[in-house]
Amino acid sequence: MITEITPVVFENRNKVKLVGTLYKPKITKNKHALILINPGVKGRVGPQRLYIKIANLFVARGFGVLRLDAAGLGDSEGIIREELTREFFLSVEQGRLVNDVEDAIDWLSNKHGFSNYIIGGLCGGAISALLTAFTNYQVKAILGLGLPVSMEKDGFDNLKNFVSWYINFYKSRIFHGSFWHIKLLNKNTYQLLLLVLDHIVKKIWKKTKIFISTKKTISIKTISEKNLKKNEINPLVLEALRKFSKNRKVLLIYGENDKLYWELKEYVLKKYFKELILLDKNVDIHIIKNANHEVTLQEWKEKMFIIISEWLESLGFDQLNKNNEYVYVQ
Amino acid sequence: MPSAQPFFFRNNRYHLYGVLYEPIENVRKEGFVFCDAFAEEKLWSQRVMVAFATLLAKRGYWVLRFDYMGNGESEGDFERSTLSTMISDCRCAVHTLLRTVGSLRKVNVLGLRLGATVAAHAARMEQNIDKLIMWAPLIDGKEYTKELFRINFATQLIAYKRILYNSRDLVEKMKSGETVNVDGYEITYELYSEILSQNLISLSFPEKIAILMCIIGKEKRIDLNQNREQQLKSSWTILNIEEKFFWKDSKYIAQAANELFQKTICWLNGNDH
Repeated sequence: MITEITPVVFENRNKVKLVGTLYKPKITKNKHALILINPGVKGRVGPQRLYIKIANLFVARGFGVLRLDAAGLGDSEGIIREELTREFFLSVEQGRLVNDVEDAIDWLSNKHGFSNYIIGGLCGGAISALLTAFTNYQVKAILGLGLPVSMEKDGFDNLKNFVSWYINFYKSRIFHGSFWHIKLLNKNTYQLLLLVLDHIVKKIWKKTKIFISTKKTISIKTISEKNLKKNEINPLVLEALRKFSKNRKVLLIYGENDKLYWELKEYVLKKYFKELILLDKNVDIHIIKNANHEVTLQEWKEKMFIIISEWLESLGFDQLNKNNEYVYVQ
Repeated sequence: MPSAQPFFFRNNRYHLYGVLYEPIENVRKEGFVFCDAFAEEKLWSQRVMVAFATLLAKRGYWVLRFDYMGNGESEGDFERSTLSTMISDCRCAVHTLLRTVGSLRKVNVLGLRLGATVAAHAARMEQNIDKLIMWAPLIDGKEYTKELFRINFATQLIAYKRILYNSRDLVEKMKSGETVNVDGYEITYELYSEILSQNLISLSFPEKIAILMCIIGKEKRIDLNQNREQQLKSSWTILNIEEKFFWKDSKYIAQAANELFQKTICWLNGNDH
C-alpha cells in the first residue's frame, strides 16, 4: 500500500504556525487518523524515533497519521515562557497543548476528510491526548504511553514521593557491586540529595522568618491548592478516565521501571480499583517488564508494538499490508 | 518573523528532511547549513538550533537545518547511518541550499557536538564553504565513545540490574555484527570506529575558511600549539563560553543559548568581508 509522507504547516487559532508530518495512505478503507503529540519538550519524532515506528503500525492498518509539533516545540513557531521543565510539565498536565491538538483535528477534518481519531503519545503527549478527548467526541480512542497521573509537585510533597519511589526502585539493586559505581554518576542520586538539602534549608529559614524562594510561583486556575495537597492524582485524569468508560477505548502502556507506573499504582489502582473494574472493558493497561519510561531497549519496543497491534486488531483494524511503501512528497 | 518551510530533498537514493529559513529583510547573499548533534542530543538541543536559525534569518541569512539519513524526519534506518553518510548528507544540504536559493555567494556550516565533526569534514571537502562554526565540538572521538558506553551501562543496570557487558564486550559485540544500544539507538561497529578515530585538532582546512570553535562550560581548553602549521594556514578563533549544556536532559528548558548566540554573531560581524 502506498502512503504519501508530507511535511505540513498550518496555523493554530492564535495564528502560530505548527509543523507536522502527515502520512496519507493512497487507499483508505476508513476515515480514521492517528495524531501523535509531543512527548515532554521533545519534537514529533519522539525519543529514539519512537513515534515514526508507531506511525508505521497505524499506516499498515490504513490510518492516516499526523505527528504534530505543538507551539513552542520541535519545528513549530512559538515560545515556551517557563524557565523550568517542571513548570512546563505542570502546564501540560493541565491541558496546555489541548488547543493545538483540537486545531490539528479541525485541520485534518476540513482539509483531508478524516473524521474519527485515535490520539496519543508518550508522557506529556499521553496526558494531552486524554484531556483533548475529554471534550472532543471525534476522538474514539486514546493511546497513552507512560501517562502521568499526578501533578508535578514542589517542595516536601515532591520529596516525600520521590524518596518513596527511589527506595522502591533501587531496593532490589543495592547488593550489586556495579550499582554503587553507577550510582555516583546517576542523576537520580543528585536529584534526591538536592531535594533533601532544599527541604532542610527551607525548614531552617522558615523558623527564622526569612523567606527564600528559588522557584517561581505558579498560578493554577483549574485545580485548587487543597486538591493538590490532599489528592496526589491529577483530578482531570480521574475525571477523563471515568468519562471514557462508557463508549471510548483507552490503551495505557507503562514500563515496569517507569516512575509514572509506580504513581499509577499508588494513586489510581490502589485507591480507585473498584471503580476501575467498571472501566475494565474499555481501559486496557499493559506493563512491559523491566522497561524504563522511554522504552529504550529494542526488545521493550517490540513488546510495545505487539501490544499496540493486538489492541488495534481488537478494535477491528487488521493489518492491510505487511510492507508499507512510502512516497516522500517534496 | 522569517518563514520556515519544511521539505524533503534527495541525497542519491534516500530522502532527507530539511527546514529552510528565508530572511524577510536585509537579505544577504550568504547562507548557513546546520549540522545537528548526535542521536538524542539532537532532540534536546532542537529548540536552541531553531532559535539560532530564526535569529540568523532575521539578520538576513538563509538557513537550512536538516536531518541526517536515518535520523529525525529523514528516510532510512538509524543503523545504516555512519559518519561518512552524515558528511555526505551535509554536503548534499550545502548543494541543495545553493541550488534552492540561487543567489548565494557564500555558504557557511555550523555544527553542534558530533555535528561539529560532520561540519568540519564537509568544510574540508567542499569548495563552497566560507566559514566553519563548531559549537561544543568533540575534540577527541575516543572520549566521546566512553561517554556513549556509560549511557549503555546505565541502561544495562535498569534492564539487568547489573553490568553484563563491559566496554570490551560491547566492542566485540559490534565487531561480530551486532549493534550496541546507546540511549535507544543501535550503534554499529562502523559508526563506532569512525567516531573513535576522530581528532578534530589534527584536521587541516583550506586557508580561506574562517573557523570559530566555541568551547562550552568547563570542557578542556584547547591547545592549538600541537598543530602550529595549521594555525599559520587558517584563521581559528577559540572562545570559552559559559552556557548550560542544552543538548542534555536538564531541569531548565533549553529555548536559547544567549551568550553563545551573541558571541557567534559578534564573530560573524567581525568576519564579514
